[in-house]
Amino acid sequence: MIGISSRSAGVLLIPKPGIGEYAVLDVVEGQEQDPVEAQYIYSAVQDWEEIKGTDPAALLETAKREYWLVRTVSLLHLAIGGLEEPLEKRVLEHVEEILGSRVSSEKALDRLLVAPLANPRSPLTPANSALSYGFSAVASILDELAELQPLLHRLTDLWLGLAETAFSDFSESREMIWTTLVEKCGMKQLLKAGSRHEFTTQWNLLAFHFFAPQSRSGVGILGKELSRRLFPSEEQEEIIAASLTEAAKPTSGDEEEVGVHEAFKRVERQIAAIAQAVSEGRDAKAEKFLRELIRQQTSFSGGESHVVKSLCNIAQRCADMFRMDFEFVCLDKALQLALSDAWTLIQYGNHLKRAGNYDKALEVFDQAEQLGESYVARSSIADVYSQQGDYAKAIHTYKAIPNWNNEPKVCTAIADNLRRMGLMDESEAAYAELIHLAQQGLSKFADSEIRAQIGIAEIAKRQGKLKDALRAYHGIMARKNVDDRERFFCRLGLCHVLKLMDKFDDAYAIVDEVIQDYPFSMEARFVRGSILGLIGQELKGLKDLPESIGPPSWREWLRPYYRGLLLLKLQRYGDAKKNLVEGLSNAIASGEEKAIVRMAAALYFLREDETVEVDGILSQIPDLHDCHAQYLSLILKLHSATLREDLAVMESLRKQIAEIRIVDERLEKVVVALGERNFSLAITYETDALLKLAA
Amino acid sequence: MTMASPALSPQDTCSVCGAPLSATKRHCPTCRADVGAPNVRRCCTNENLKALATRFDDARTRATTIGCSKEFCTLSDLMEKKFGVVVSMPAGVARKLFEDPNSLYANYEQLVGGNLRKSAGLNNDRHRCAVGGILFGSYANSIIYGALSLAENGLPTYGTVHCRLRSITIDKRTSFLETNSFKFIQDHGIVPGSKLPVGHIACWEHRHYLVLAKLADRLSAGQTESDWQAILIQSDGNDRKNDSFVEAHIFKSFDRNAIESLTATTGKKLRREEKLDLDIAISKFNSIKRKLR
Repeated sequence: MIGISSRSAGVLLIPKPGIGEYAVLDVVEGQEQDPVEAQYIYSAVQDWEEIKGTDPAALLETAKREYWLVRTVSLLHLAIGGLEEPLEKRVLEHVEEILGSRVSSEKALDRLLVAPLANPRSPLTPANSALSYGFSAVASILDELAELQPLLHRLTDLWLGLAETAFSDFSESREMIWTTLVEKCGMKQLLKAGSRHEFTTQWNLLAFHFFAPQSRSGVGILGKELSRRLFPSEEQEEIIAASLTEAAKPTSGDEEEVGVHEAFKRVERQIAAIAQAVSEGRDAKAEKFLRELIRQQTSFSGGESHVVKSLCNIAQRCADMFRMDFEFVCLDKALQLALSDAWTLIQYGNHLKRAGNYDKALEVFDQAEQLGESYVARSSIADVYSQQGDYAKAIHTYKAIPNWNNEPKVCTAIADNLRRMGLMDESEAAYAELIHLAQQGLSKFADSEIRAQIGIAEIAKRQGKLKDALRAYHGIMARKNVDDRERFFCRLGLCHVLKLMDKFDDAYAIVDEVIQDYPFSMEARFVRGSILGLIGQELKGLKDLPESIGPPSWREWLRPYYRGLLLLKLQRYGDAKKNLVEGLSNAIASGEEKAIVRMAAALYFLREDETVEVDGILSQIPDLHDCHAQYLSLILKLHSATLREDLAVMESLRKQIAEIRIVDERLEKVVVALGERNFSLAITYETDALLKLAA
Repeated sequence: MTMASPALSPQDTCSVCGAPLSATKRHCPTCRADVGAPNVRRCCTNENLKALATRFDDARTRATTIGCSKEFCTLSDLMEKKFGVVVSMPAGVARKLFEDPNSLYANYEQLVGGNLRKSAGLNNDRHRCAVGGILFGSYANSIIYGALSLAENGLPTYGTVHCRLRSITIDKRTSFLETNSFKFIQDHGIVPGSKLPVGHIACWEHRHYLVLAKLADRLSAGQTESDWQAILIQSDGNDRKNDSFVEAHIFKSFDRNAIESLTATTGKKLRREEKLDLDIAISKFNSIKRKLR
């Protein structure tokens, strides 16, 4: 049975059996109207849609569902576009009611993702209004809509960049395929896909909505093409490389002669524009700029070496943004232009290391070693072991480098690894030795002094000597010979100490300044997001913690970790689980970092009272050397034992906790809260402790 | 009386390429030249114009006989200056008119095209086409119905919101029928395949002939503008069978920029969501008007 529905008028025409006429139903009330009415409803032809159902009741049900969904989306469009205040409140209240009873938030969000917003931040104003009125469902949708904009931009850029021939198998128009995708395929899930597999699994749902076999096969081909571009991996490298190589061919000798300075300035601007496009998720635009950069630089004699440097520069910026996918695109191209360049190979190996592709990274460093860069290559190999959490092997490898104790960077790395192993005295001695050598005037060691002092400050922090750590960081900051990179790390380190001391305003001021200086540093943004969460501005904090665009990488675990904790505070438990629990399985982390990620996942399960899961996760946490982390892990274990009412374990844990130096007064309050079985208060304190902990 | 515009026939040939034209198509099938909205072209056949002129002349004679020649002339002048078309619609449809995805989204047109929806196969919609099909044939679904009005209000039985349209946006594509098309078909015993009676439809330029031909017998001395509005649009607000008005037929749709004024039906009990839709439409309309000023 086929009915005709007007979604804005809320009218359904249902055929009457045998007489060739239609019953006209009011979708909201389900009542029959004057049959004459349908003719006079002014509604554009496009507003009328055929719907199918087994009987009139099923048709009415479908029409109702669609009416309320379209109404929700329409009202949200109006709110995003701007409404006068009293009207805005009524609209948001109405939408909140609809979302509570008639329409799923997920479906409404999918429909809103039909195209990127002209102003990606436009949903935030009504989101804040909704929150101030207490309409949390509306606030969540609008907030997520804003968050997903970079991902949506990226997908639509790729979609619009596809050649017309990609659609030649379809009998449907390109626009109709997109519309079907938005309405039937779950855009949010598609955008959030973290891998090729996840993307294609979601994408292939689209095939069920096309009946022609050719269209169905076209869906598969399109999905493969998009996933290739969204998630470049080894077998796809050739495609990207081929397109770039083609574009990179020197075009002709008629390239306008430009001065060296002008050319340098232009390249700077191009690199900034590429980085900006990548940060916004506009990959097609970034690739276009990249091709242009390559074309221009290779048009000069000997320009290949310049372009390789430019590509490595962009790759580093991408790494700062945790955009591993685009970093790879740049490095892949650089390697094609300079396959025997050891430094490019080392940067590529570092990329692989951060991606957790350790075996391949080691292979690449071996190649670099054969090209003559033995010291850096061996040191990089040791870095791989360190990142894997095998600190002893890392130290062993560093010490196998000839004349290692005369290499300040190697000595610093050894001290760092000793610290990670929990050998604080040995580590501190190693840092002190570096400082001593620098102060003796050994020029080679001059640069390592600041780095060593940062190491000592970190030791003080881990031992709970926060005032010492603060003093040490302030001392470093007061010095004039601190280079930009060291100052960057120093400021972030100082910020973490201030967080642990509950000096959130000071911490915020510092990290905000870092972001002004390094707008592409996602790590700094993550930290700012965590501080905002600690001062009760979770929604604002989430803006600094957007969904990931690229594949996971080292240190990127901070994103789902902080994000999940903020979502937990916002009581968006489904999303919190995705970030904290799934984030755990995807995290490229080791040692204490991995332990911290585990604690966050355990916290989620504690909120759910799922103690079996909690205990399973916490049992994987080894002995910790950071006193804050150690204290918190015991608190979480106590929380679980209290839930289970396991008195013996509770008693044992209380004793252990009492023996530890109190490093966070609010965590001490958790012990009291658990004693009173006030679990929600305990969760609040534990969440804040985790937000403060990660660094 | 003489008619000002050239008398066209739906079966005329294209003035650009000379090819035969279809009575139901706006564009020449051969050279794609715009030959005018088919509903308007049909009003301009010699046969219809002659019949309409005859009815108008008869009406003037009748008005003179009853001592209302002054009122006849005043109303005729007023019509040219003040008569417009009011389309009445449900509040949800009015609200939708003010939703503009193109201004909200980037690349919206490129992604979803002009039509977001797969429109229904309305040619099979017998109910919607039963009457329209008799009057307009294959372009029945392109016709938007409104009422001729001296004021901002339209027929409350057709929707909560009355949109008076800017004449310049519709005058080339609007025709008029002297009454409700259902009633017209019923009164004249028209069935599919019948030839439509002539002299009862008019294009924009001649709309006052149609109105005066219809209303001449109801003129009386001393009538004012509000009296004429009251006899032009009559409705009890409940039963459409009791409505009386001059029906406007607009070829193809219009958008929010075509709206001159937007008012709500008074005294009708609205559901909460209808009230909200109405307030949104009014607020958005006022906001657009403010910007234009």
